Amino acid sequence: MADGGYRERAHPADLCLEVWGVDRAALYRNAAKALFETLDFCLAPTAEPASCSIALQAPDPETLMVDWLSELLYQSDIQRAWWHTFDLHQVTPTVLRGTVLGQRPATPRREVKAVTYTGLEISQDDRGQWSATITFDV
Amino acid sequence: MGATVPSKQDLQQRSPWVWEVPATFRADMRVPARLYADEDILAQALSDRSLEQLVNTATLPGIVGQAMAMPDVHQGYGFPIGGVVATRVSDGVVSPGGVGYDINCGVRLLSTRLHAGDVLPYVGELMTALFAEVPVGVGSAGEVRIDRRELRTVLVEGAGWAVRKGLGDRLDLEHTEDQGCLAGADPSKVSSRALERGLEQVGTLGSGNHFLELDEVTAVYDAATAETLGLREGDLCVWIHCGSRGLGHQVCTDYVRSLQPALNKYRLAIPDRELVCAPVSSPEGQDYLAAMACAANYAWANRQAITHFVRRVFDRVLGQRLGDPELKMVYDVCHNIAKIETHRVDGHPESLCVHRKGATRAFGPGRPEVPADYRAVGQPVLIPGSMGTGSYVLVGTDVAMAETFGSTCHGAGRTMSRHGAIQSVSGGQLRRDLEQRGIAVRAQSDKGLAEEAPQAYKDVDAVVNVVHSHGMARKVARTRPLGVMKG
Repeated sequence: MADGGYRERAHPADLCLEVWGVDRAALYRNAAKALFETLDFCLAPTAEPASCSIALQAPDPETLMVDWLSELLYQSDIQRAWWHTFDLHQVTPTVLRGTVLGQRPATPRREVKAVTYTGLEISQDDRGQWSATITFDV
Repeated sequence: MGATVPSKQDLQQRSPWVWEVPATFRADMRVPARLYADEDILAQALSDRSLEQLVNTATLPGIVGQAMAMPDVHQGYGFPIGGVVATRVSDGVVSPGGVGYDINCGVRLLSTRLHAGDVLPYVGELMTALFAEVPVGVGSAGEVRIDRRELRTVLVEGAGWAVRKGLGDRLDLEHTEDQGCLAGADPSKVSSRALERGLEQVGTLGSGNHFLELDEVTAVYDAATAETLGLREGDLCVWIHCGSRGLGHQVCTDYVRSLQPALNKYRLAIPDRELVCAPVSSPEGQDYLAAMACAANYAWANRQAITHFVRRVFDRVLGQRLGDPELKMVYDVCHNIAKIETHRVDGHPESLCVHRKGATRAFGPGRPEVPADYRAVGQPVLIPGSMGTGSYVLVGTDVAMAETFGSTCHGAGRTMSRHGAIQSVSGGQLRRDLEQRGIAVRAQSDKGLAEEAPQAYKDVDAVVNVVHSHGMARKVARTRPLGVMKG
């Protein structure tokens, strides 16, 4: 059963993703999943497994989200990797630890330059579901 | 509390092309917010969050004059695209988000002495060769191999480094904004991550809206100025649009993040965290400007290396057939930048930090920053339109100097989201349509092509008409594409 999801929202120029999850970890996991599905990677025939350990600390949940996605973009660019599995061991309002798995070499068909703070607010509704709307510079 | 998002009723029309949100609209505004637009462009701006974002920029500490949006305005992040904000160096702020992630994204135009009609039989071959020679796409690596030590030299010297390596000539530098090298670059202010991302990308076009085009000059509005710039009706020219690639993206990411604590430290209140800023004169502000200059210089080296590849292809494909193509630099402008410039404020010269986010410098005649051979006519302003339509060459004016801190628009400006474009336009059909209109297309994917469909952009003629009619730039020539290459 899905622990959350995402949808693309209209933006005149950039990429705007609305993401939700049943808990805080699911929100961050689904944000990463949304980004890396949207990037539409093309895998090389010789692609091999890739992985990366992530340990982040931030002053607030929004910055933690920007840091998390920025870290994944950076690691993807450097390793030429497509991340598909996001195993998060610890997610608090200010800490995120986990391991991401993927394959490399891989090339995205779409470019995302960066994760922005614009309109980014992480909130929890009455049913306990977490959500965020994230704007990416493309 | 009143409305925070302006509606048409909140706008005061100052002239046929000038609309202003008064500084009294929101308590946190320090200056008015001004939009240059015709009625259609105004309606488009009111349909997204452009004006809200413009009003947000009017709150930045130390802002002078007015916050401005050019007629290619559309919603961005932090600043609207097409935004121009000048802050006092003495007590104002610099905002990395006011420059954007693609630092010194810019355009250069090369003229030729080739008649477009003579080149037509070879356009397909030229485009295929260019597509093979100039790396395109996300994360593409170029043939220019440098180590970290040499990369630091690139960051300090900019296009001059490329010319020193045989990738251009002296005229290329003279006809580049700031001679292709922004002063104050300090590689020690650039993170190792940014350096790592920049190692393999000198001489690469990238993706998104970046392009390389072969165009024909189809209209000349001012023959004498066009001749000064080396443009003649019927001649072939080459447009190159790209920026600082992963290195620039990382520099902006690093500083948007690292400046967040500066808001508390300097007690700065901003309505959007993407507008994060620090006093220009503070250590944080100076560090950002030093790193930003590095990225700007990287972008100029990048466009210079691509220019070399273009010349090599032209020589190979056309040299034996049509003689020396004589690809000369008309000019190179950056449209995502913050510059320390002197402008008159309340009648007195003032040192300002001019943020241009999706806006082009448009210095008028006589300014020392304009190349000597262009100084009598003003700085060339390069405005690419949407794919398959056309592009403009203009020159800056005294009106721009007096009113917009020597700035004007940078392109057509989007009206449709990339997602919307993909859903409503078939990339394959678009490719066929363009080919039927005699435009050779080379693109990595039909999806990428659809994202940049002409339908997704404003009418560049209307945008340029606003800046020309208002007088902040003057039309010199129009070009139309014969070949388009997209990442």
